[in-house]
Amino acid sequence: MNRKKVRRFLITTHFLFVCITVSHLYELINWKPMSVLMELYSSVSYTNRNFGFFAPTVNDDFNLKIRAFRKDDQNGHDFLFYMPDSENRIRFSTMLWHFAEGNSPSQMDLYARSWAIYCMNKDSTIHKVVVSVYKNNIPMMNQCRIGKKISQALYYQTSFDTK
Amino acid sequence: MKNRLNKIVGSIFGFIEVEKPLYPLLFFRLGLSLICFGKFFVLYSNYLNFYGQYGLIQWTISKLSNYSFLPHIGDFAFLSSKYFHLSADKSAELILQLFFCTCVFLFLGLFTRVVSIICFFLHLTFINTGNGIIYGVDVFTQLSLFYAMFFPLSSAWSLDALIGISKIKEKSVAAGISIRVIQIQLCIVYLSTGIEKCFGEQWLNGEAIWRTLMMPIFKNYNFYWISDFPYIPYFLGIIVLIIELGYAFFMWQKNIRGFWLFLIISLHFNIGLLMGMWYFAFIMIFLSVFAFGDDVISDINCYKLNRVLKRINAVPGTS
Repeated sequence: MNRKKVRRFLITTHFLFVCITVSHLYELINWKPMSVLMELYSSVSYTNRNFGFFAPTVNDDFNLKIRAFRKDDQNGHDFLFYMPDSENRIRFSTMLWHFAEGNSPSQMDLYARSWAIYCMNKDSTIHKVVVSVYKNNIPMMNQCRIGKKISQALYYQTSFDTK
Repeated sequence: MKNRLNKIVGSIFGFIEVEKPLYPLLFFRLGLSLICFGKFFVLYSNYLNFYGQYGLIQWTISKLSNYSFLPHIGDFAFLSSKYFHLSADKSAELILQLFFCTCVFLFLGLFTRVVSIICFFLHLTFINTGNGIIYGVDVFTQLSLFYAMFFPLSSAWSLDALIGISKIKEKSVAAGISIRVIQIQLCIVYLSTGIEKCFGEQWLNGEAIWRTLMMPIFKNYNFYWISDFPYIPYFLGIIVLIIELGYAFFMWQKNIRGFWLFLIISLHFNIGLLMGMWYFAFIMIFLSVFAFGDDVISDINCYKLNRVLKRINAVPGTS
């Protein structure tokens, strides 16, 4: 009997958390102990999250270009990433979405620093790295009909030097 | 008042605590272990680039953006370098090999409960370490592994049953609860995502479909021509909304759920085909088939039985 009660309590609590999260009710409740508890539960179980993928709008797409320079090299070369299949490419793009998430300059700087260190670790002769992230501007359908194509705009740029 | 409340609670749990066959749990165990294995097998060539100490998102950054108590490959690396003098990269590879082993054990149903708990924690470790590269497939794999820890997976044709750790059962209430929980979770997921999409203008005027097809990352085919036929993405956008919103209602309707399961499978198959998100498509199809597959099979069997009965009744002198 007790086991049954515990099971029912756990199922009820679980779905209460899920419903409160997906319905954004936690924003209305705004009670810190509960939001902390729900956040902890979400970070472990991944059951109570906002599941609105590509909702309400489809986000922008980004490209990462890294120009690497060796010592006394004026022109530099493109640092290329090996992404053999669609799954790896999607992971790479997801990283760029997370980079731009919330448009936080400190987060972007952290990511850019990480990419620069990655390049310098892969090739120890690299002396300087210029990290550029481009946003793909996708034209609307009516713009496309009058000949507008996908264009790229510089979204973020920084450079790192080895001392 | 109290009696009324008890009645409502009783009817809700009467719906959840229902006896169901265990074979869907065999499908769940096999499918989940294959998806977990396949997901990391594909990433194997880039594993250290995504999850290594000096990968694209370094451990110091991924560790910073998480709760400190959550498992991280860096924690294992610290311990293994302290006690076994392993390098950080070797430790990361060891974690992956351990994960592959747990997937094989889960597939076979050997020490199922313990293995599903280890698998859950290892996957959580990967998610937290690679938090800069996670997307829907990781969310739903982690969600499935969370439920797997509580499901009676070893009672469904497992090595555990062969060596006497667990008993094979044909039907159980625990299996019924497992299926119901995933059914409810999926209904909430699709309903919420459908409603959120309705709030965006892009889904109601076809631009969402257009943008998705045109995004360079998803661009497996050339869809420029579709701008000349704007009613196609408009129609497809509305169809997506109907399928997602209708999931929570029509999957409970006996005569429609088979068709709706076909629609949701088609939707995710097309996501795989057009966007290249095959693993996301696999896990969503897998979860829906697990949740409602048995009900659809029962509906088909019921329909066939009714047809046979009708034919028997139609033959003179047999009724």
